[in-house]
Amino acid sequence: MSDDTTNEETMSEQQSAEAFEVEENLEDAAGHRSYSQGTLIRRRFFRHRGAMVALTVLTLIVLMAFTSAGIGPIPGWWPKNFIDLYPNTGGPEPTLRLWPFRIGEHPFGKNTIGKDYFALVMEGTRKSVIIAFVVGIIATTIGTIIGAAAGYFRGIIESLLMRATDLVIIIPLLVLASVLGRMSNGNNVLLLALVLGVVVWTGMARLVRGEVLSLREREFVHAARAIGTSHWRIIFRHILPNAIGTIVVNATLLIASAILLETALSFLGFGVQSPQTSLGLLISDYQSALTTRPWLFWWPGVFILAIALCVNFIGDGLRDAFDPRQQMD
Amino acid sequence: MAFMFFSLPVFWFAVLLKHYAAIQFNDWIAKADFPPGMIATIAIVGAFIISAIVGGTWKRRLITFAALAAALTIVFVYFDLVTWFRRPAIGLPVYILLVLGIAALMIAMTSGFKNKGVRNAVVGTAIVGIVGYAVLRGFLMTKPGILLLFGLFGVAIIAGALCGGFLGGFSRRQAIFASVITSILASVAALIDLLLSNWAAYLKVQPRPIPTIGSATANFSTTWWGHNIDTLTHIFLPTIALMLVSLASYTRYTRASMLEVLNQDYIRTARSKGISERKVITRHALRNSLIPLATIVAFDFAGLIGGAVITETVFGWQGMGTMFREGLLAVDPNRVMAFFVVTGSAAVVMNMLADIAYAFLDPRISR
Repeated sequence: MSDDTTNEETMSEQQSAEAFEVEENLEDAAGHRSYSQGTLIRRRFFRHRGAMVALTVLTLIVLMAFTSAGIGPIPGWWPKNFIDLYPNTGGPEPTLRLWPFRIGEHPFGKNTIGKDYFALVMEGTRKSVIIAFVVGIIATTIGTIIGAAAGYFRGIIESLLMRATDLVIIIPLLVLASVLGRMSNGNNVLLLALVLGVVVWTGMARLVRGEVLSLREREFVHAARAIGTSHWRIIFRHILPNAIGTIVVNATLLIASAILLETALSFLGFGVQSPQTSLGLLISDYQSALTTRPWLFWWPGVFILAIALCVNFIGDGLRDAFDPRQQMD
Repeated sequence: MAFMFFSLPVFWFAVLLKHYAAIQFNDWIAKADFPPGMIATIAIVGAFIISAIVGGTWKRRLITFAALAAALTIVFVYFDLVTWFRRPAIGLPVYILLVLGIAALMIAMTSGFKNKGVRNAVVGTAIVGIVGYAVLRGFLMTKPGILLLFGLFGVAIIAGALCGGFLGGFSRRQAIFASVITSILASVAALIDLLLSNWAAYLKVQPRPIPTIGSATANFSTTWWGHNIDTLTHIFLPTIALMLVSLASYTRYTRASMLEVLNQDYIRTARSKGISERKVITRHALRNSLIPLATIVAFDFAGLIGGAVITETVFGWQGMGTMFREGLLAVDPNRVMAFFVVTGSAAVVMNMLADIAYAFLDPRISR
């Protein structure tokens, strides 16, 4: 690649998102089409095989969890719910068979008192997914705003905000979360998600601050300031769109860690409380059943693992898409 | 593979460990036999993994695979015949071979065999270590003690440094470094040998060696070595579970900083000099990418404490984690606050140490 094109690329990286629309569908001298930044990222992401598989699996899991019990007035396709007890016909073992394939009466078996375990696991998955995404949204918002403000304004605001961040970082995450989770009393899932969101934003704030620190010295920010753009407009219209890669990637990874955090809290007894259920609570309830009724232990764990793994793979795919230099090869 | 580690719920993994690494292992150790199918599986899987790591052309891979599979089969048939896992022993001859192997590895990794100074220093250290251990082994078996062990460890390090200093010649610094590492590894090998020699006696009083709960066996009276093995077997499972917590974040950070370092100019210089890719990675890239990791290890302290709350719950240890959990369940602010004060100040101290270490490792920071 010649020096000119390299310069062009770095130049185009510096401009805000609208500028790329103009460049779309241009052809260079050799007849290659050039693509906008967004198209490039999308294409790189769709070509990442691991990320696409993970995206499919995650979509399937989420669809299965949410449609099986129905949403609002729409009835779900799974006839049993996670509250009723079912008569003991045919033992508690899972009836799911892969070959010959059949789902049977209770595909994941029944728990110790006769509840349908498929419905329970699906309910737990719903809870965990809702909590993880709400935590992701809240933490991303808080972290981005605090990080951007600290990085952009510098001075006393930065030291105040970053010392506050350090204060939250110094306390072990799980410990802080369990105290707050215990205070939120577990029955209100959204409140629990809100509380978790309030403790996990620190990493995001640090990363966004680092990114903003380098972006604020760029020419386009000076230009925006010179024509009298207000501070928050500069932050939201000029700086943050350029930091979107870091933010999106870390939001994904944050969601993955939020799932693990929520399940760990519920396992310890500080998260979701019975009669509500969550994947972590299910594992905590049936950890001693591993020898007698292993399916009660395996299924929730496999679902946590699958969700977290998928989200991590998607995050990795996004990272590679946003920053092709970060690829190993 | 690395994704597996940071997607794994620790508490779930810990319970699985209890089941498979403890209960089933304890069932197995009663007989400690290897049925033919098991030997075949171990040989094929182990040989496949190692030949994949070694790499090379297809022919070379096939040869390594066949040789390793044969070697592993012989070793495990031997283990089966003498029920090695009930009566494990390294013995002095194998110990000597082991230390010489360590010495050869150290020479190969630091300066290569051509450098006379380093070679003499490391071999000298190895000989001193072997002779010292051969003389002291009987005494250590009968009259052990923690002070004695630490004292001997210190003596070993000093001996290594002296060997490096006197025999090192022109490359004295590298010789000291290599021989000190050699003496440390030789001491560890000696300790492992001593522990293994006492394993059979431990199995007699404790037929199910890997416990799932607690930090020491109740009403346990045995030798000094027996007590140490008891502590180690109790630590074993929680350590693996906690290791997993850290491993997850470390692999991620090492990857990120490795990728950053690989883009640096001096890596390009090293490659253009014609150094093999393996040397570029281990000598030039890895060392520099480990600098940020040195600070993260300390920062990770908080994560470890969080992990300890989980592992102490699963493995029934009486520690800070259990105190915190019970305090929180009983709504006892004093216990929770005590936990915060102790772990918080520990975290502050660790962070300070991390900053100092960072400035020490990367001189650009302290300027």
